[in-house]
Amino acid sequence: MADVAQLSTSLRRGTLEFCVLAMVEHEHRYGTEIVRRFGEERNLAASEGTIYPLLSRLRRVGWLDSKWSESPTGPPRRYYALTDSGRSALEHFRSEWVSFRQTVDRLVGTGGA
Amino acid sequence: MSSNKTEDAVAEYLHELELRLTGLPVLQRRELLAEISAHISNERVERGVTSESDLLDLLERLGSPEVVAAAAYEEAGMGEPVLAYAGTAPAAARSLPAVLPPPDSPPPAYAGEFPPFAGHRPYSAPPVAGPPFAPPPPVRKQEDNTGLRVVIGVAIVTVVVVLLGCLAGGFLMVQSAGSDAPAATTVDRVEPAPPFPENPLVAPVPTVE
Repeated sequence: MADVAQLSTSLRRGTLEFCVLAMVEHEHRYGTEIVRRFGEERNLAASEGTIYPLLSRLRRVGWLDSKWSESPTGPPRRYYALTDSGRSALEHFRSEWVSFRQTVDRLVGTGGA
Repeated sequence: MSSNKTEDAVAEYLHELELRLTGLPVLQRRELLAEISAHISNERVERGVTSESDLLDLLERLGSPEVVAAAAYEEAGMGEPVLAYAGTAPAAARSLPAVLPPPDSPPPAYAGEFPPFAGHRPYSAPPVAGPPFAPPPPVRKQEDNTGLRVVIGVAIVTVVVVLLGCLAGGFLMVQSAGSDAPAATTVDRVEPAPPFPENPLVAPVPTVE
């Protein structure tokens, strides 16, 4: 069991942040919205609270921008948007990911499926 | 009552989290606590979470304070916090450094004991790290001892030689001065002063003369 959890943690590391970037590529989203979206993906399921430190880092490295906005229902919402450098990082990941995935598929034998 | 209980659960969760974030820069800590707090409020309002059990589900989806704090430290590039940890993995990680010094004598014993506690990978390292540390100390001790002995021996010999030289010179001076002039009395008072305290060490010299 520990090894299974370890595997998904390892796979998530290095890819989850680009899923976050892609999530706010075309529209601004607030934290809880992003977290809920991940909650629907079983393969990516992490503890929801761990998404916030990730958002914080992506903002600190300048890939995400954030803006506070009043909410009609609850506390103010922090909306995240992709910056220019975040956009180029996402594009870079996309091309890297395709060739990476193809290599792994070929070596592991998952390409034909 | 139930609303009080749910408030207590939220407050307790946030407090537990805050306790574990003390190693973070203050702004990152405040930011994360504000986001988590806002998340809980959002979920309660927008998903109609009212009962205590629903709220506990909500907190469980967030992850335990330990898990969230660990992610915060990792994303901050700060590694594992040294303090305020109840998590099993960090605790094990911390016990390793504490165990390192003793491995001097029984590294195999530790190698045997650790794996049963948890994963093999984290624990395979310390036994490897142990032996390299173990051999040096004895060697260093021996080197230090012999080095010290040599240094002390040389120091004693040089001190004795110097004292012998001083005493011999002093006595020659006294003798020559005594035969010369009446002023010798003043010289006597000044010159013998240094030899006197060291006399016990150089007892043989006077007998030789």
